[in-house]
Amino acid sequence: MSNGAQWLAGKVALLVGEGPGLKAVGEAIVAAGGQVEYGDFCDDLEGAKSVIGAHSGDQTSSIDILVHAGTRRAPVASETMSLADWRDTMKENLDSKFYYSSALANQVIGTDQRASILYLEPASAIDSTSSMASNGAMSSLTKTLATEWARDGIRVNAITSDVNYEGGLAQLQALGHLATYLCSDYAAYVTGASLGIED
Amino acid sequence: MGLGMASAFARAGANVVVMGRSEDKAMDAAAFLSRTAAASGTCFGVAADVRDPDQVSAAFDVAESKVGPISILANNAGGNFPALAEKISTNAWRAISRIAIDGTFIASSEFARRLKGRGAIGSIVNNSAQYIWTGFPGDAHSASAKTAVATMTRSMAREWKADGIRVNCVAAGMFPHEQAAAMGGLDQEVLDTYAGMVPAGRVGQMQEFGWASAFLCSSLAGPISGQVLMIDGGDSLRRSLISPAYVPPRERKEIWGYEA
Repeated sequence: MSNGAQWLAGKVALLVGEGPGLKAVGEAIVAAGGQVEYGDFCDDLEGAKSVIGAHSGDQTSSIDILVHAGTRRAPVASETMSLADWRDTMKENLDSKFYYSSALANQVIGTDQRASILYLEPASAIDSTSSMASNGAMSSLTKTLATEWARDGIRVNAITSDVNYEGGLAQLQALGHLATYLCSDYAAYVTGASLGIED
Repeated sequence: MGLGMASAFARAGANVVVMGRSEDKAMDAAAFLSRTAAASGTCFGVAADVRDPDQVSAAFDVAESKVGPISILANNAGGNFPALAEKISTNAWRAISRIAIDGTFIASSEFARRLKGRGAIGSIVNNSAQYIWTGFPGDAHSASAKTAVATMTRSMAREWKADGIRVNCVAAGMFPHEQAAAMGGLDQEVLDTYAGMVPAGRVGQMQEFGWASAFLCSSLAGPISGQVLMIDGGDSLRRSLISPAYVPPRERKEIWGYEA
């Protein structure tokens, strides 16, 4: 953190997605003593497993934290949107988040390891049906996975804010701090939560 | 819960003024903070009933005369007990709703007037509960009051955004201290029952509630405002499609329990 607190010392975070918010979160994780790795969007579970598995060699390199953002595209009228564009949005904003989360959970369940998953979601998705659909799906997925994996020591939370894609410097710093807090053990009792930056 | 927040503020270096209806209890809490929280600043107690704007204003005067301008307000005042909605008396309804809803409004607006008067920025954190988005049968008075606190948080955050006054809310799940009195003691069996019913498999630790509150009020939370942070180990989330048979509160062994 900016005050030098090493809230994530020894933790390894996998970051997937695009946008200034994800970049700010990566910087905050490093400032908090964590290590950051990057992954591309995945279109199937096997792809996600191979990324997560590549880091599973020992305790010092296995993934403890998954931060997954999506992409934000220019809004397209629903009746003119191609299936390919629709699928790309779904892949990046929904499917890939599920695949990576499942891959991480499969590595953690049944071990002493714990994990924290954080989704970065846009708040004002109303201008695009595809974003509205993925936003709704992610809202429920966050809560569902949080409950389903609660006993496995896997926490699942979301930061839902347009700051993820177009934040100013102060907002992005706050986003980084909030993400660091949510992924740290200080927030060990926070799961299934969705928070914003500005209401 | 208030002590949990106050301890976190004190540990983080703040001067802490505890306001309560009883001056003795407020002083006791302040003394406890000084003893236990490794407080570097001043801690003391002051009496006021949060339902009375004049008392709240006077308490702010006393507090600010001792520690200088207040820059953080934590609204924790509230009461709760199991009650069938059709049996809640006017007095009971007024007590629960006015302490939480009116009290949060009165203290927050007093705080905001003072900040705006001197052109200062500040931060408010409100204490709410995990059942605010679902309702809570057997708790009509507090369920509605605690949700009002959460929705007021959003409205005040918008209203005072331009003034640099941030308003956030921490909605807490099972932190046994609060429920202990109402649910009959805090023995290990009760604690185990609480822990077992929460998806996370444990109850919350008071420090965790304190950290959340202190984080939101700190400069680390920069522009974060109007937010409701649910901290409940997943307790407020749906956990199955098929549930045990629904028993209305009036037919339960205990109003807040599940069994007939």
